[in-house]
Amino acid sequence: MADGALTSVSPARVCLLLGAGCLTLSLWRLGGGAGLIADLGALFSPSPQDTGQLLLHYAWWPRLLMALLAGGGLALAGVLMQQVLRNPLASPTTLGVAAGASLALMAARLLAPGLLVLGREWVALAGGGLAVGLVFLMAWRQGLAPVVVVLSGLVVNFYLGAVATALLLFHHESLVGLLIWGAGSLVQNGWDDLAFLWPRLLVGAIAACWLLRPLAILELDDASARSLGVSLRTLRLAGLGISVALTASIVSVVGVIGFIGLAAPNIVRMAGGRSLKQRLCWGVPLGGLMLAATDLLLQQLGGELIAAMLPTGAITGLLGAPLLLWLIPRLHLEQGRPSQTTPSLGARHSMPGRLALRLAIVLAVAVVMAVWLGQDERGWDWLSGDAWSLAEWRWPRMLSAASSGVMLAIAGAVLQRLSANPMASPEVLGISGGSAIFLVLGIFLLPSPTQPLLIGLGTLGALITLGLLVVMNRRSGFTPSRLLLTGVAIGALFDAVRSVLLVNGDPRGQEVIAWMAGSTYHSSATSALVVALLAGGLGAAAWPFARWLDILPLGSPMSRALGIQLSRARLTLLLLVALLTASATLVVGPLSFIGLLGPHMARLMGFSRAGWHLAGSALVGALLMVLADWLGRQLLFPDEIPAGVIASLLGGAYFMWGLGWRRG
Amino acid sequence: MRLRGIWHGSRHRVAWLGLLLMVVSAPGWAETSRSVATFDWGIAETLLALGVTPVAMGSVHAFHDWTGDTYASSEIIDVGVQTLPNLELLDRLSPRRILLPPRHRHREALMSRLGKTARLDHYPYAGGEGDFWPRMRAFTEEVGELVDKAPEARRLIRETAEHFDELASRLDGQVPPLLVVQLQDERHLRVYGEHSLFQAVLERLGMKNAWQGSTNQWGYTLVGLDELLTMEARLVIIEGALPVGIERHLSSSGMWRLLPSVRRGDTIVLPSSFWIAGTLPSANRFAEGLVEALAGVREVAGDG
Repeated sequence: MADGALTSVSPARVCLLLGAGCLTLSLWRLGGGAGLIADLGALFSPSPQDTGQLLLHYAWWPRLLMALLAGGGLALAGVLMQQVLRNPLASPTTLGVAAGASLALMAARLLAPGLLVLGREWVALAGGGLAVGLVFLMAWRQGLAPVVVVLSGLVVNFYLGAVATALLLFHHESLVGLLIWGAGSLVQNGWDDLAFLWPRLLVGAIAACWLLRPLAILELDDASARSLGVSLRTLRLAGLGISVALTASIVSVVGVIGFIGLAAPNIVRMAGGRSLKQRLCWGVPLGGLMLAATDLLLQQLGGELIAAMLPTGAITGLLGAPLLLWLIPRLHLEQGRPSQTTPSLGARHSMPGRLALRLAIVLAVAVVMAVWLGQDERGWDWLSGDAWSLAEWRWPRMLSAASSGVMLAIAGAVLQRLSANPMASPEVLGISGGSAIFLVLGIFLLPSPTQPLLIGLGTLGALITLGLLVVMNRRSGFTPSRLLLTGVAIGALFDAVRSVLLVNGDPRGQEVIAWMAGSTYHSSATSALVVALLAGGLGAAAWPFARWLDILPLGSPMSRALGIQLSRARLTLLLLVALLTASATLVVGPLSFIGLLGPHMARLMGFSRAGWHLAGSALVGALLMVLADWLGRQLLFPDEIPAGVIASLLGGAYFMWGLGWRRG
Repeated sequence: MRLRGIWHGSRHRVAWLGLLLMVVSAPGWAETSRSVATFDWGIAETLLALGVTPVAMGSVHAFHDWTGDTYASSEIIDVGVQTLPNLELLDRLSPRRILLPPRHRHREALMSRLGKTARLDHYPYAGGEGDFWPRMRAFTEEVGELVDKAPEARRLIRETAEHFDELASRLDGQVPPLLVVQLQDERHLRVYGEHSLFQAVLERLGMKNAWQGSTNQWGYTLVGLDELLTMEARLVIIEGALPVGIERHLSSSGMWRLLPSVRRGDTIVLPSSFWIAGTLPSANRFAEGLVEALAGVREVAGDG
């Protein structure tokens, strides 16, 4: 499938190389103390007087074995998922298993702590299973096409992430322990966890071997596979079930470990492992060795160089994101063909002008409500005479919310038309994520950051991400699916940076969480007016491109035939999207579904031609953001739920609800 | 435990009496002293110790949890999460002064629309250089001056010093090095060291902190349980938001049972009545609880 430049390398050699690395690092560690033989003996019988040997027996050996076991298990899960979905980018993290398990554990800790005593792995399994279920539900109608599955996974990851952010915002101190877990630490304090994990992995591995032959049939297309008398649905469910169960049991013990499940099978594939059997036989040891090598290296570095703890899971994520970026151009994914699903989301409205007017009226009502209706310590209150000063707090927030909604929705509309993919959104491009990485680093590394400085940093991050997107995708002519996958990788990078920073439980973490949740909190009259001007200007700049946006969804050949220079058109539109996204992200944070939801809803209402679609999206985006901001300020008064979180919750719910209605 | 409460009760009575006298002697005082807002628990407890009840604070519930309900009877208005205090509510309360720690600097412009803001430059957990106690004293005086309670601030500093001297005298003989930790889950814990309130208190009482590694600006670092195995020290475990089910996991954990302090059975568990980034009142309560526990352990050891 993927012919890399690594054909001279065999999977065995890659494993050997990593194995040698692990051995060297281990010998380095074992060589000290009582001598090599005694230290090896500590695996079975440590002398109780020698703390060095006790440390080896209760911490170092179990940690090494856990890394090998967990890495191997994750690789196995990855191989199964990739085979079942015929998708080289499927993995426990990309499909949301880890995010689902993580959120389930958080909810359990807050709502029903008793469940955690009964069994963490069951809570994790339920959460992970539900998340994967959601991903499938979203991708089912498009035949579980690889890119759609990964994008659905991304949306589910976003959604669960938004809920988790809200929980963290209000219960930071009680969830600190889970932040460590979420970053994936392999620290061991005895043999209990290993004893828990190995039987489960053994059962999973046996089941996988048993399914090996039928699963290999999945390499054929559906029709041929069916003609061989295989029940595809049962087979897929069995393969995925095993994979999810494996992931959940590993995740419940050591926490979220990024990317091993994605990387190990793909490396084997590129090193020449063509058949499923090869990928299974080499992928599993490779996964184990990759995790063990990373962990040994971190142990060696950690204590001496850096005061803070470096969680292995997040670090594999950090290393994995560039790997994914490297993989993307080497994978053969479908290109440039018109999507079979885009056009008919809703019937075209005969008079879009009247529809837009109605929307504008609803928006005006919402605006009046957002400024006049609120609460104080005595209850609900309609703004009047003496309390007029409160409006000076409300209108800048309302205006910022509306403006960022407009910008995100237009960015989303452009992107969805550009990529002929209804799941595309600016969040997906990773521009929000890139901007967020810089902001978060600014909050952590600068002693007392000021607001303008943070805004500058955020813009810089957005621009660097955009540059990366352009460099990475220029050669492929900005193919939409590839572009979106680059965004997935940048999003994963952001997750990893965030985990590393939050894991140490630093009180600054709360500031970061508050910002990431995306709030109009910091809006002042000036900033609101600036954002509004930006929204107006950039929105107007999008208008002249309406013709391109009418044609581009028809596919590359058609567009070329109609005289559009594809690369240049895509680059121009992309720049516009980046500017819109960066400006909006600075106001409402990197989490929000408005860019996905606004254009989608506008389409469903009947705004069909590009020009009207842009206008309709802008109206819907503004309306949704104003409502989200207002609801966020009222629901838990005096606590505030950031507008970004509310928008994500509304958007995600709509998205999942809409699945039942969408015609495929 | 009781003892601590009584000590505090009397402290409070003194403070209230002082406040009452002020109110009688200077009309208009009560109003001024009530119009201070802050979103930092360390600043808040210093204010309360000076006899000023802040009018508004973020996350009041969590504050009461961490300070062991010492200030549960004070009428502080909750303005929502610390990181996003409710601006409209604050506007209605119209505090005269808003006291901000340096880490809230980016909020200054916003807050100055509500009232006069003051950034506390001597705030002890801001990451700068300098010894802990001089900074803490400067901070307390700074707060005192900002709310016109300079004499009270000086008295709080003096009384704390006397209290510490008294506690130190109760610790006859040499106390072995201590290790102040907070469990995060069954494999990880926070260890407190340099820059932390706890290390400062240990040193002030003439004890030694076994943790010499580097720490963050709040004075702790996150470590795996295995890093404590080689440390010959008595464990002081600060109970807080202790995760559920952790005791069961710990009691069966090989590593936990091997920790020198656990093997000897001399671990000390302190229920949290002090904020980890607290100020003089927290320091007082921590010192009190610790000295009591040390004395208690010694008695038990003497009995057996």
